[in-house]
Amino acid sequence: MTSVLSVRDIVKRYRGVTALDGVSLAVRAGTITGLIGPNGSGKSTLFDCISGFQRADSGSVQLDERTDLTGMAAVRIARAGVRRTFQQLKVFARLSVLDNLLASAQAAPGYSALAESLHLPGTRRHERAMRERALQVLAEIRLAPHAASPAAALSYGQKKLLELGMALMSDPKVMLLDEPVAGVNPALIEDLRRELVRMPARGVTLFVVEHNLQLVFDICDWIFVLDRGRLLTAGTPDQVAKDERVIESYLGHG
Amino acid sequence: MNRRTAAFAAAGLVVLAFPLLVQSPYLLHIAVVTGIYVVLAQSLNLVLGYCGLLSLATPAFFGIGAYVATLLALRAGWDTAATLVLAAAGGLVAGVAIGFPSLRVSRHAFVIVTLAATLLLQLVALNWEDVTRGSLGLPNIPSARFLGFAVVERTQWYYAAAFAATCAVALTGLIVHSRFGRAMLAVRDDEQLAAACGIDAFRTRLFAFCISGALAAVAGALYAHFITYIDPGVFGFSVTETLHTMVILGGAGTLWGPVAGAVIFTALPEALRLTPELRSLIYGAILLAIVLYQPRRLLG
Amino acid sequence: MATDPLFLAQLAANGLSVGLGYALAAIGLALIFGILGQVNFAHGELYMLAAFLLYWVMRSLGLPYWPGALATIALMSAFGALLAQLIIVPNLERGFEAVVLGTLALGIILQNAVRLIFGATPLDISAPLENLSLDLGGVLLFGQRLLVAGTFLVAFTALWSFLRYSEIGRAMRAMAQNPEACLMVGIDGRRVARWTGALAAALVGLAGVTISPLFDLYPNMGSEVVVKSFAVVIIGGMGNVWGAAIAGLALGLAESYAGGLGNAALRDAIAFIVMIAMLLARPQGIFGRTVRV
Repeated sequence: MTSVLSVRDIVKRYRGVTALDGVSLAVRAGTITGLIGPNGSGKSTLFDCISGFQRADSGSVQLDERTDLTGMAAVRIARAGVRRTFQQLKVFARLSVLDNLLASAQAAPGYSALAESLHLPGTRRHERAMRERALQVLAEIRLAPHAASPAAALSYGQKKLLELGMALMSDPKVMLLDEPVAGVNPALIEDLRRELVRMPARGVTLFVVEHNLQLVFDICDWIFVLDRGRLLTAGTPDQVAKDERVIESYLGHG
Repeated sequence: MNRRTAAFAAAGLVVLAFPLLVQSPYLLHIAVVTGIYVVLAQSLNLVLGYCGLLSLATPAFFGIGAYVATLLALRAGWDTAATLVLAAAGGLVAGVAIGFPSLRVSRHAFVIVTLAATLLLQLVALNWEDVTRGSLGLPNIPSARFLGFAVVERTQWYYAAAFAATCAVALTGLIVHSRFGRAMLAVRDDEQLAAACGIDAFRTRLFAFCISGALAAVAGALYAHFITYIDPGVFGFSVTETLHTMVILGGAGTLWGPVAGAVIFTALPEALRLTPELRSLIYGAILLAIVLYQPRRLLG
Repeated sequence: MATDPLFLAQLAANGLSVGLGYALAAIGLALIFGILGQVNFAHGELYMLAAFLLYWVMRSLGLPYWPGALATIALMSAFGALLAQLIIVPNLERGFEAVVLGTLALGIILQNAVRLIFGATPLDISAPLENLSLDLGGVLLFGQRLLVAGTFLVAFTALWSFLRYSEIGRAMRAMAQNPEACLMVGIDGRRVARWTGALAAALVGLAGVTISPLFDLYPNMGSEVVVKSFAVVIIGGMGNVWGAAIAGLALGLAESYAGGLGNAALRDAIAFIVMIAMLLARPQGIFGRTVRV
């Protein structure tokens, strides 16, 4: 099976503290892959380095074993098909829920600020298609009744759903989800879980950082364990669950 | 919605009938200036309201437009249709020159460079005497002449200014309600999330800033043809506080707020017969009061 | 002419003295940016205010230049603390836009208030060293210029020791490095802000009282100073006090040579051109952003 993301020897230091110490891993296409580890093990830093929000000191990142993402700006990585979410939940607070989804599909090819501003004919057709798609996504994540209200008015759990819908709108090859269910009540976790497991069928590979281990072990095909900036182990949920080093690392300095 | 449409229709009728209702050349003069201020206010609104960026370059664009149009009309006898286009082009080029180096760096650098550019251009206009005659200024600018049709009478100027103001509002509306407009608002709301969505904050802001530059430059060109005299004072930094008062108090990041702001804050000082110094002083105080008591209203 | 060593030396002397003036004028701006992370757009008007205050205490109170200058600096410090308390303190945790607009508004108020009070006719301050000059082997050094240079050296040394050895100076440096940590160890950010404002205003006041006798006084005399100060601060690294000092000197020299060997228009544009070039090539400035002493 081909890997959608290949990370090689990523090193990231801050003023002498080594956050990532030569991490290499490959995320296989069409899977849900988990990334777990105690606090401070470097999970979010790794996401930042892959998605271009921080620049790694050394190492490389490849998309689809073809496109080299190393050192690219975050915007270009996003356009290449790597969509990320943030640990600190982010939505466009003052835009409507529908506009949040539409803004997410901004990166589609053929976008020209001038043509769009003047509403040239080609842009309208595209806009209509995007709108239909957005309404469809809204229905799937069950936020259709809120389409016109500002995103700021949604509940925390609804914002989490919206965030997922936004990621879906941008048609990524791979989504890096940073704690998709953190702080969400159990009922909504079930909604989110349902959306997550449908992603591979939609052609999206998931790479998930999550502290809710129950969920991780439930939905993931493969799990990487990070500890103090190094890859501790990797395997299927069963293999990882049995690995004593994993338990030790969580208990030892978690 | 119907009431809204009715209100707009009524306002439109008043605008159209204004020269018939008032005969006073003084009032018509104020109305023309108001129209030019509406264009300027929309120019600032695009950047301040819709991009959430502080820019002090509006007077720079205004001055560039005024000088480009004046020199082309005076020295080369160009038609106003052409001087307006060239003025807009000047605004675009200046937008790139100011925005490209500074927007990349930080919002701090951007504000600083916009101010520095405005002050520098004023200095250039003052010292480049071969072209601008320095502080003597350039008198006898021909009034506007569109493809042979001369705009001379106050009433003609009134409709020209109303047309320009309408175009500025329409252009802003088109931009804001487009996919590009959504990108502007997204960048304003959250730059990081916008990047994750593949929206290039730098390009988005630069494009908006350049459009804003072209709009302000057109306002400057109209001003030059209307007043028929300009001097380096057109780069006057003092219009900045007037404009910010209009846009912020009117409602930055709304389409009609800055229009209302421009009308109120052009008409009011005239009605109260304030001297320019006193007017600037009061606008400064209003701006300071907003910052101190209502800081959330600042940007769109 | 251009190769005449005496002429080149004179240009260097002029450039150095002007440059020290730029450095003196810009340091207050760098200080507020470095310590509080805020841009003071009333900086040029503070310079103007100092000049007019000096004019006022000399004319109305009849004070001679030296005590007048001292009184002006005292008034300026108080005004700086007031500015910080009024505009910067309420906005320490908010975005920087409020402070930019607030200081901008204050600058406009000051400019127009001065115009209403003193009128638009240029005024003049006479200072004791104004007509003195020193001939160093054909290179002329002017008294007031020497005073500016001397004031810079004294002020810079004093600032350096203040930041290094006083308790509040150490708090300022801590604030520049890590504002969040400061709050945790109990440093009062508002007090630091007031002190920074007072210090910055006193420094730009020093520039005002020493430089303004060389030129006419008019209400928007601050605009040129503010352009040069911003250029110096961007070239030297935003908020870097040493960087501002060195960039000020370099700018003075560059302008002097550009004006002497090129023309006056080039001299006026050089600050802006270097600033833009710097943003394109090295946006963090030559020395990066830190308050180092």
